[in-house]
Amino acid sequence: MESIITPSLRAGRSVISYSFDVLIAVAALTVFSYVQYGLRPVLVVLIAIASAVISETVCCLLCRRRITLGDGTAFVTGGLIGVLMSPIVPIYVPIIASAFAIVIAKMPFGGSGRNIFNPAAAGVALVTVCFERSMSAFPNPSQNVRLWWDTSEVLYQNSVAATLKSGGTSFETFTDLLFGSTPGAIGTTTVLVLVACLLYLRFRRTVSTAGFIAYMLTCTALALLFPRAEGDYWRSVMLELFSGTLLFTGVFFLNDPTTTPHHTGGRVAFGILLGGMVMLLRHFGQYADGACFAVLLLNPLAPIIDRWTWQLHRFVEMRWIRRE
Amino acid sequence: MKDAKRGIPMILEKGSAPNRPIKVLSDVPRVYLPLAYGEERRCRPVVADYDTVMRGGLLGQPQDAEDIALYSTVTGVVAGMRHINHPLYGQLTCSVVDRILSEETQEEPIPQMPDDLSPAELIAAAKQAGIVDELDGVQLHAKLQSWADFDTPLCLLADAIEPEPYQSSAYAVLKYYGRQVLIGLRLAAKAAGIPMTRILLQTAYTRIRKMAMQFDPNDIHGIRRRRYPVFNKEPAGTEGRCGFIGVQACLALYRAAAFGTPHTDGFITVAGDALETSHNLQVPFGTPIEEALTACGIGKNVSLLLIGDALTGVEFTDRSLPILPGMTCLVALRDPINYRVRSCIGCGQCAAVCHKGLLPYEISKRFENMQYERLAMLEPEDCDGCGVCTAVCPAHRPIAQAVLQAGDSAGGTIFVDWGDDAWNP
Repeated sequence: MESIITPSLRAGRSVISYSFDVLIAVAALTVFSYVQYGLRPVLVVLIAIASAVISETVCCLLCRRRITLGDGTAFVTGGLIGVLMSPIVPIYVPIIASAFAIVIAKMPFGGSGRNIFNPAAAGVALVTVCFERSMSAFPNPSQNVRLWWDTSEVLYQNSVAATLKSGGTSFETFTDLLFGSTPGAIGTTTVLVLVACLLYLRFRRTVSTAGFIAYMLTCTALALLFPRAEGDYWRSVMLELFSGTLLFTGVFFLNDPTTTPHHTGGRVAFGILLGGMVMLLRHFGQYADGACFAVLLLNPLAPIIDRWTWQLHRFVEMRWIRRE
Repeated sequence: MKDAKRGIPMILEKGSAPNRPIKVLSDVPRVYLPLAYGEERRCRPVVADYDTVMRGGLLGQPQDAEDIALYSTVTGVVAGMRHINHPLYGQLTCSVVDRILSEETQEEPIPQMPDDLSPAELIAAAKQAGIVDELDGVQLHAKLQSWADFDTPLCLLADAIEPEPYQSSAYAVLKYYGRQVLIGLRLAAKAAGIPMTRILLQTAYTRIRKMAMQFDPNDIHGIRRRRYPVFNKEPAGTEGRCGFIGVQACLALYRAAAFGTPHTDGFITVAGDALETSHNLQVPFGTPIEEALTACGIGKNVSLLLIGDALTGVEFTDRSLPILPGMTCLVALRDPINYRVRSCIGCGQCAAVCHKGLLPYEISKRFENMQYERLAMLEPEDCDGCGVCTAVCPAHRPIAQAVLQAGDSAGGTIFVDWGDDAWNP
């Protein structure tokens, strides 16, 4: 007799709570950026979110589907794009990035839960290619940026990742990196807040840290083997891990539920591959920080990695564990 | 131990039902007793319409000699036949018996010493009494016979674990008929030639630990796990070779061996927030569900009725369905459940809680996309339908249903070989 399970008792959370957790992390990053640069970063993040939400609504209306804003994934996409922008980026850049993320990278695949590529990574990758100068111009830390259009009088400085790429010497200490007093995108410089975000998401059980640990270990190993900075090996490791979007990618993109493997073995394998790809692009890519491109390159492999690692796990379990 | 994290922490809402004495529901006006379950287990009626049958009197003879006979569960008049579509058992052909008020009370029969019976006699007694195991709905004599004939388990476990949030009927039976259950369990083990017996309990809860004190500690196999579902039930040293039997079946076997009475009554939990009081009821089989619900004071605003418990139950609306062997719980809920089903976000929760180590999201996705060739290697047939994946899904998708259906289809109904001339006969 076929038995039918009725959905009569629910013990879990809802989709919106997952999105809400990530939004809280994004808000924490934005607040720290506000302390450093003034209101401008907040404006950038809000505009990115608004652009994503409007794009999603328009897409749903055009397709005559039910508007799917309720699960909060559009807000997350917009927020992640916002915190990956420079604080002095022209306003049209986050708008274009969010619109591209939703209209091209998310909705044509069937909306949230069915997208193959991480929408936020796709949006950022597009504007990195198209507006290279805007995306790589970062203001000197701890100076207030004007809220509106004119950002010409800002003092520019190369980010740590760009310095590493060009082979120059950087003088940032560990404390600078920890508290974010280095030039960089809105949400990527403050290592302390990023780690706090990861711990928050972990203890809310929104993400699992297995993939993150594998990713960081891979990056550490590669940084040790192929150092780019002057000085001892550990300084190279520190600068590689805490500069650019490497840590941000590990916290947010690697733990995006839809576009990464879903079970632990798969996450670990994906983390290792992503770490290798990020370091590869850093060494041989055109841009200072290729994390977004690495994520996009590996996203389509996620289902295959997931299935293969599961079958391997199953095989090992059958062969060696269950026999006892 | 990785498995310790599998499953979900269970909110037990058993409420007051386990603390109340078993309520005996004997004054039902009419019972529906199934002569045939679809094409299986057909019985030939031996009593004509408008004849009187006694409680425990023969009502139908099985067509297959291996099957059990049908006994009347009340004293009454046969009032004809009725076809019922049951959500659990499919099409039933039922004999309708109207109860008549009889003055005489049944005398308490003198118990015989069941210890004198040989294994073959015990199996014959189980068949004679028409005992059906409430754990899986299998006839007890067939179960015992198959154990005795081949692949004899090392340990026989009376499964009184009720991990789901409402059910407490096995607990109530053990509490009030504990000694009889124990004797019945030993008789069953003797009949099947099994050396070891245990009563299986989830001793994580104080209430159950207290109740278990009436038994010898050697008779209990306690599981200290507070999560749903409970797995790895086998005691150490049995190499996983264990047989499971229901508590009510043990009790019925004892009664059949000691008194020769047929299996006419079942114990059922009626619970839920749409009822005034939740009870464990002793009802004659064939009692309409309406009677059981009325006895517990069902209110007007009921949104969901379930046969079985809240996680694995089956929804029904027709309250005239009979209570049959195998049903141990009814749940009536007041608040409607209208979660919005969203698309899978791939959080992996279902894979994290699955105690079989499957990938439920992958299976359900492949099944919905009709990629059947990919299903076989995901091993959906391992699923035992505990329903945890549905319970934890943040997108509120009915995953367990899809996995179960995929498992059924992996058994061969969908993997049809379209070769040869199937299309041009």
